[in-house]
Amino acid sequence: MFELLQYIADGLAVGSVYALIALGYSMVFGVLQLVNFAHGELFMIGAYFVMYAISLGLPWPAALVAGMCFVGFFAVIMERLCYKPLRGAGKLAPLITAVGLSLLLQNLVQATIGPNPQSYPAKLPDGILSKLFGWMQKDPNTFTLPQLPEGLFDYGDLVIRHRDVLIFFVAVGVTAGLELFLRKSRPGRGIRALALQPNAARLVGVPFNFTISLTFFIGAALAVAAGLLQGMADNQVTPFMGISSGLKAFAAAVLGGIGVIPGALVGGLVLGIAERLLVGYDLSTFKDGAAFFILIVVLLLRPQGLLGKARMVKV
Amino acid sequence: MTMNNRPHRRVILSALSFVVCSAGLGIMPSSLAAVSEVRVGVILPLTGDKATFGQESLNGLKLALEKAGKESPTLNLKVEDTQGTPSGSAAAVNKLIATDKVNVIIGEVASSNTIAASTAAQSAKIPLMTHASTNDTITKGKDFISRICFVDSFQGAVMAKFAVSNLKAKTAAILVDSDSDYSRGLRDSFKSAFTAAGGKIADDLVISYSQKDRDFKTQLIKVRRALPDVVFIPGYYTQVGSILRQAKELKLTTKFLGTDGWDSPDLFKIAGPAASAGHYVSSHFAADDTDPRVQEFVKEYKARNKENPGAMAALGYDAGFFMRAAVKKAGSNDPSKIRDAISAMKNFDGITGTITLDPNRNAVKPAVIVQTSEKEFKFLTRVNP
Repeated sequence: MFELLQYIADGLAVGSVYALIALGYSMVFGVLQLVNFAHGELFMIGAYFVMYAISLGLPWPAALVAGMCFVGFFAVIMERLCYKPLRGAGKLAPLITAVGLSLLLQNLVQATIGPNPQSYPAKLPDGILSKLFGWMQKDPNTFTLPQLPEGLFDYGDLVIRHRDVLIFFVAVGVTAGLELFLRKSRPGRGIRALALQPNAARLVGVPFNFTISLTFFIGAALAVAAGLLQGMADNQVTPFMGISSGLKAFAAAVLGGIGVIPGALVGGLVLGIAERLLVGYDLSTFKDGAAFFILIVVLLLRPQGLLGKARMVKV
Repeated sequence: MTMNNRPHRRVILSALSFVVCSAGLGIMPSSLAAVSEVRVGVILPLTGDKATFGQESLNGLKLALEKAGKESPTLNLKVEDTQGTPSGSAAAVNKLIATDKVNVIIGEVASSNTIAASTAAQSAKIPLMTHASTNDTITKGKDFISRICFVDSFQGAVMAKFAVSNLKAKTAAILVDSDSDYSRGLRDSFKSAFTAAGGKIADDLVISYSQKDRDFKTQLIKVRRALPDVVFIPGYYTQVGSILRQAKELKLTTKFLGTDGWDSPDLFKIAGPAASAGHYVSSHFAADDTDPRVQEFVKEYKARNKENPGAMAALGYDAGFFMRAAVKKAGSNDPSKIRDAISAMKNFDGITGTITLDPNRNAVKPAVIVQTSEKEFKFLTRVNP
């Protein structure tokens, strides 16, 4: 009994990180019907950015905000350069572009920073970055890693880390805040209007390009938050960390109902719990397949996802 | 005049280049012809999650060849990066054999990768000598495959005996990297030796993880609930670093025992100082061993690479001298003759111990046990086979 509770609690923590990434997939899909496969790479770049910023001595909240802005604008520029020119070109072209971008970003980071896992305190790669910021580089011997909250809720058979609770509440809070933003604020309503009926939204004066940029910015910023949490928890950042986390977050978004904000949270948590159950009952080999197996089953039974509303697709 | 000048200049130029070329050639063949030049393929994980192993091995190997200097036979290294994966290793071996026409191959580090590489080397009849892959099955039934490190049935037993007699352990848990032949082999050898020595390992305390895992809490909670005397983790430093870190978070106080896959400076970086100290690890070499030859190597390595050598550096260094000795004995760059010379090597005096190959082409040599401090390994004892 306690064992089961334990796995569920662990799954909620793992799933929360998936959920934070899934929100970005879901928002972009809601607005553009585009699966932005490069989203996992935004998470990865965010994790690198934040790790370097903290290693150079920035306090973590400042590093997080700087990372969110940097990766947010990066995503906006990416959309303007790579997706916007393809808007009239059907759905396949942007999708292929997204896959290409994903590969490009992975390999770009591998080529510039290197393929090996980085951990705190991360040393800037030789080259232009270390010339610009080298003077900020901290001595690795005196550097202390800003910790996520340490400590445990320890009930003997049930053990929960404080940071797991933190991550969970961050994910729930962010989802609730995002939902509120989309319902109550003017730009948020613009995003929803665009998702519902793009042409009508434009007719009533929703700024089209701005709203799309905003969607990408928010999605990227949330991915950076996930990158910070994961980077700090694991103390490891690699150029390819976006692949598996990104794919699972995508599965989570579809599972919950892509385009539906709370669906991303639910999908992420369900996947996280499923994974931890498999690991707990010593089937960890199947862990990575589990996400997609569940996805297939749910899509067969409920094609619109767990929280999605069935709606007619315009042909 | 100008019209005439150009062809004239061209003639002079080509004549000059001819002279330069032939002068160059005049030097080259003497070293080629007099001694057999041996092309040595090297496959190592220079990138990826075992990258420090590859880098250290290569540094050690290069230092050995540099020390040997220009005297014959010359070993020409052709280095290929395997990215630390079995498929990358197989591809690297195929390229070395087909394109670079190497006479002999040194490498890989991880057992699963060496197993993948050895099939191609064996069928092409190119000898492959691994300096660091310890899984027992690697040389089995493949007469062109050899190694200069000990095997896991020895390593697992060393740690099991250490746990029982030095740490007085009665119960143990094992965390197994299910993606690694190395880890699974060590699981079996540790388990049987530990049980034979009177210890007990419950079936549900043999827990697996995957190299792709980042969160090991679920596995560690199981250990925490049973609280065995020791936890044996035959794994690689990238995952082990995370495991130690998370064990500390969970306030898990049992002692951890590790194997040579831990022996990387990155272990301490990933785990962090607080989680690193106080574990016991079996390895091939310790940088603070007082043996004067070890200290000489450490000094030279440090001067060249600005860091202390780990076990992989020492094995790479031994591999360089061992291969030179074998090639010298073979007196030829014929792969079969080199193979015979490697297999017949007895009492080779390396810095990781005296190496003698048994009839199955596995090295019989001592292991060392080191203890971790907050940021490095400290020599504890040497265990002879």
